[in-house]
Amino acid sequence: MGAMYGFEEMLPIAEGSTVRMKNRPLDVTLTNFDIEYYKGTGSPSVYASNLVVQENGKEIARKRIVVNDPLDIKRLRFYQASWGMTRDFHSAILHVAGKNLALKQNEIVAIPGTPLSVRANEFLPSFSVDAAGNATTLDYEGKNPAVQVDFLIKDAVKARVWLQKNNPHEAFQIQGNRLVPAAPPPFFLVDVDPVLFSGIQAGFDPGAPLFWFGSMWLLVGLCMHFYLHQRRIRVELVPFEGETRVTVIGWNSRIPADFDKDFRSWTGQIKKALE
Amino acid sequence: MERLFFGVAYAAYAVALSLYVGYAIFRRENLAKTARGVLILAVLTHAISLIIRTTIARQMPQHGWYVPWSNWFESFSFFGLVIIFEYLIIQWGREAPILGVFITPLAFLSMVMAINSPFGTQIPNLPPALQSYWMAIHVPVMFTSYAAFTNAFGVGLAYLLQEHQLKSRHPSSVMFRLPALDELDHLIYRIIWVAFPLLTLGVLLGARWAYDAWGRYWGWDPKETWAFITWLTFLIYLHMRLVVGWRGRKSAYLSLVGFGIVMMTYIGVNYLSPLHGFLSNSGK
Repeated sequence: MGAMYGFEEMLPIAEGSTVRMKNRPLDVTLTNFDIEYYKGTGSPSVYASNLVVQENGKEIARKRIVVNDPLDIKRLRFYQASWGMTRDFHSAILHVAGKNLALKQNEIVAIPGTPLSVRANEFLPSFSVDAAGNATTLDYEGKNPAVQVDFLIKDAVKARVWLQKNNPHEAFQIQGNRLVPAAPPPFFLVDVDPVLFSGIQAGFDPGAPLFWFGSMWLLVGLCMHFYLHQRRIRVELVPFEGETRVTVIGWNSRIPADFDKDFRSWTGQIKKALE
Repeated sequence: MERLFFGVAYAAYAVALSLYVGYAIFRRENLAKTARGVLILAVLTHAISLIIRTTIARQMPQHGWYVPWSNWFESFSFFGLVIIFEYLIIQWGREAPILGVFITPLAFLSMVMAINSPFGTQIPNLPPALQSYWMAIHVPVMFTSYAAFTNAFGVGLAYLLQEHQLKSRHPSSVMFRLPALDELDHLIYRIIWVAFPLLTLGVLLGARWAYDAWGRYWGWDPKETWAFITWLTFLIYLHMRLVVGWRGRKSAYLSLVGFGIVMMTYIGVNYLSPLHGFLSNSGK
């Protein structure tokens, strides 16, 4: 039933943005995504998405979902499935001319004491240079955060470089159409705060109640099959040559060996009592 | 404190094991009686150490649902505890202390696995996937059934040894202490008889948890697939016994095979896939 009438769709939603579902006329907004780590370790302790679901512009649900606690609305379930970093960032900190400069994305900031200004354009979570010499990201996990930075004089771009947070001495610049290693620059990327996205898995499974119902019956049925044994005992008393003949007949649905033992013990007791 | 109680429990398991071996060799009844007392002490101190551990861990952030079976060390340690707890129930009122010789080593082995954890013995940082009350429901039910299958395996070994000795006509000291073949055969069956519905229940509860955590109740991940194979194996065991009428050696061999598959599901699968496992410490 799930396969025929249900659906499952993946909604990658960047913080602060809204995505329209493919299978339902619902808009899902991620107000923000939290990822927390255990102190002093790289192991995550919380993934949480603050979701708002709207139908025709009207809010119908709002919940902070975590891995084990999905949002249920209109027989749909929204799960926290994955997360990652987008190509955007809230702010980047650049160390240049002896100072730390905080830059917003695409904002031009003058470098104090120089005729230059600087602008950070784009962020890549796991920066790498591909065979064709283009900047690319290997994944969305932030293994090698890098920012593309322009140096400008009077709004004219004089130099464009990629700076990697983890490899401050290894910058890349564009030469022709290719990225090539540049001389170790006197400036570097101190930190960057990327815009995160959350991978929300939305599912509609009309067969689920049937599945639970069936599972329960499977369990009950197995227990009945294996544990409820039917036993029938029939004692016949028939007049026989002036006496009474006692016949004991037993029947058992399962485990003949057990029943055999019990049956012998009963007939033994009857015999003993009669004698 | 937790360490102290755990240490006492660990030592007690070792002592009980030695006493049972001594009993098998010297046939002194009071050795077996002492062993049982030591095992009760082991279970109590072990349980206390787990309670202390839980109390401490619950203070940590995101550990509101922490239960002391969340990583390698805790899993094997808890498994050992459940095996012995069930053994004590099984041998209650049964004049067969020799079974301890077969079952205590299995529990002790689990304890040795625990303290040799490659991830250390400290309280783990719970990954988001394990922060759920289902940890306190699904896992104990599975462990109760796995530990019961382990007990059945121990009795199965006893059965085969006894049968071998009867056939070879070279009885050893162990044989005199072993219950009759019939009785062992019936005991294996009774243990599996109880463990099987628990396994079924545990798998279904796991499906319910997966429905909340992963958005599906059955995904054929290696753990689920092997759990299904385990379930089928014991279903076949019960079927063969109840409907086809298998008894004795065939039935005992099937219980050993079943145990091998349980071990594959419990431990082996974790080497196939990081999903659903405690060995990777990722806990997905």
